[in-house]
Parts: sequence; structure tokens; C-alpha cells
Amino acid sequence: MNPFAIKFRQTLLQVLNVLLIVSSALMIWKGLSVWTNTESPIVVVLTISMEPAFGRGDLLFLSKPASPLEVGDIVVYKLEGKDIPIVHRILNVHTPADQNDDAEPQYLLTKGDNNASNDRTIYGDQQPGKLWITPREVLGKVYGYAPYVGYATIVMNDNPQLKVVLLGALALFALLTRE
Amino acid sequence: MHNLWSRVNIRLRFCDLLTPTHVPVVGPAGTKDPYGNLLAPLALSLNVSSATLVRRSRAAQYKYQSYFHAPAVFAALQFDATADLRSLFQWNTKQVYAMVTVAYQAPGFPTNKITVWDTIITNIDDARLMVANAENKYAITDVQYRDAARFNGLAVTARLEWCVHTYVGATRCAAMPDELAAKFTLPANVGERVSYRGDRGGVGANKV
Repeated sequence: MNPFAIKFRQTLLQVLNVLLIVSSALMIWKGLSVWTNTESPIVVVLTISMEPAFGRGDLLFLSKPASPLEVGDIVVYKLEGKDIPIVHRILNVHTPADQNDDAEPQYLLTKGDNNASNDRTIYGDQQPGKLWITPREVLGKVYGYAPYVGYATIVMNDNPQLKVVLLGALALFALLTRE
Repeated sequence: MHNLWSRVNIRLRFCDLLTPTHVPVVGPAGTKDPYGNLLAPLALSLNVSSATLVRRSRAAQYKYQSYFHAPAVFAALQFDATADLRSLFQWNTKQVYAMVTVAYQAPGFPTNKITVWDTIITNIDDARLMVANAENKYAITDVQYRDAARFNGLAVTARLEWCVHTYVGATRCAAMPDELAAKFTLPANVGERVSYRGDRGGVGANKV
């Protein structure tokens, strides 16, 4: 075999290894999404509105249960027009009687533990007059958490250059590792 | 053993050999979950001493933080509650969230549950909950808030519930048993107050 062909195969093997790692990570993430029935199974807390239970940088494990949500559950919900989901506790639940396919199964009111008042200020921000949220807007219920683990994500969000540096370092490491 | 990946591979294979297959995966402390009995709190009591149906007013809206809609009627409760939550403070407990909820049924809505009062306890020293003549912190209003007669004579159940939040791991919640829950009926008309303590002056509703 000519040396050029050998070098080419080695490089191709490196690239395929990297792709294997990346696709495994993606498979694990998506598999976790399917298992927990929510599109974001793991989220990071960004604000102090749920202190002292959850602080900035805590990692939350979510799942969207089939059973109805209850008062006292901590849920992560995302409103239309807002790109950042909010993690707060459910204060009120009202279940309407008529349960057609398009009817909402529950009306929910939420409030952050550390906030003075409920979330209607947030609901009404993009949709004035909105008094309740519904399970459709709820991404998932918080089942457990790990403290401080997500702080790296916050640091990377605040300093996007760090993401580029990290990716660059990973790429360099992957390409320079010799078989 | 020429690169990182094969080294990691060999470590993982080694771990696989050591995984016990016939031993339950628990530590030396045993399988007992420290939060196995979330109903362990002692001295649980909840007594609602009075209920008033308050007519809509700007003052009521501000008091109960209803800034975005004007409910026709608010229910105002006074209650006493005790709970000894010290047994919930284990090594892993970060905080205990205690709340008083009011549950009722209404036409068109088979289940409704409202949190009317809550508190966060972070220290075992503050874990003996004792409140007297407390008022509800949050608005007791219905989804159909324009209907002023919605709460007239409604049977409601007030319960003390609590959730344990841990330093790491799952959150666990429990409620007081049904026999200790406070079951009562709201006044028959808006503007009336019913006292559930033994009335000194007589039985029945006192008009506000």
C-alpha cells in the first residue's frame, strides 16, 4: 500500500471515531428524552426564584408523567414567545369537567418559592390576560436534582467564547490522539 | 495500552468482573430509606376557625395579589395549624416546604385545589410548626371568578401538606391523613362570616 493511502485510512478512522462518540452521545440524550417523555430531560436552573430549594447552577431531572400534575409539584414550563423555560412550584390546580380532545385537562397557577407573588406577571408578558397555564406548556415535572453540577453551562452561556475554546480543544485532542 | 481509549476500555472491563450479581445494591446502612415514612410528623392539627366571603374590592385585590383580574368574591380563612416536622430533617434534607391547601368541587370543575398558605423550613430548630390565627396568604378564588355566588355554601376541605427537598436526589411529598383534615362549609352569602369556634354569643353566621 502506498503511504498516502495508509495515512488517509488512519485519518478516516480518527474521524469515524469522533463521529461514533458524537452519535453515541446524541443517542443517549434522545433515549433519555424518550424514557422521561420530555424534550429536555435535564435542565439547569438559571435564577434564584426557587431558593432555597434550587439555586443557580443546579441540575434538575425532569419527566413528564402520565398522571395529572398536583399542587406542590415543581414543574418546568415554557410559554409561547419566551425562549427560556421557567421552573416554579404549582400553587393551584383546577380540573374542568369537559374533556374533549382539544379541552385543557387542567388549569395551573405557579409561583416561585422566593417570589413574592404568583407568575401571572410572567404569563401576561406575551399574552396579556393569561391567568393560567396548562399541561401543554409544561415541559416536565422535577423528580430530583443535583446541586451545582450545571454551573459550567451557566458560565458557558455567559461567555460564548468559552464554548469555542472548549470545542477547539476537544477537536485538537481528538485529531492528535494517535492510534 | 497505547492510547487513552484502550486504557479506559480495560478499566471498564475490570469493573464488570467485580460487579456483584447476587448481592443487593445497597450500602452498609441497609435498605431503609430515611424518608420511608413521610407521615412521621407528630402533633398534626389544622383547625379553621373562621371563613368569610369578601366582596370584590381594590383592597382585597391588593391583599391577595390579584393584579390581573378582579374576582367577584374572595374567601378569607383564619386557621390554626401545628405540625412537628422534626422527623423529616435527615442528613439529606435541605428544606421542608409546608403548605395548607383547600380543595373543593364546583359545577363544571370536579376537582379544585388551592394553596392558601405556605412556609419554608430550612432548619430543624424551626421545624415545630405552630401558627395561630393565621390568614390565608394567597387568594382563594375560583376559575370562574366572575360568578359571585360561586363559593356560597360550598363544602371545602383544608389540609396540611409538606414536601421534603433534599441536597441531592428525589423530592418527596405527603399530606395529613383525611381524618385530621378540616372539613367545613363556606358562608351562604357574600359578605358573611362563619365562625367555627364555639361561639360565645350563639351559633351561626355573623354578618360583617
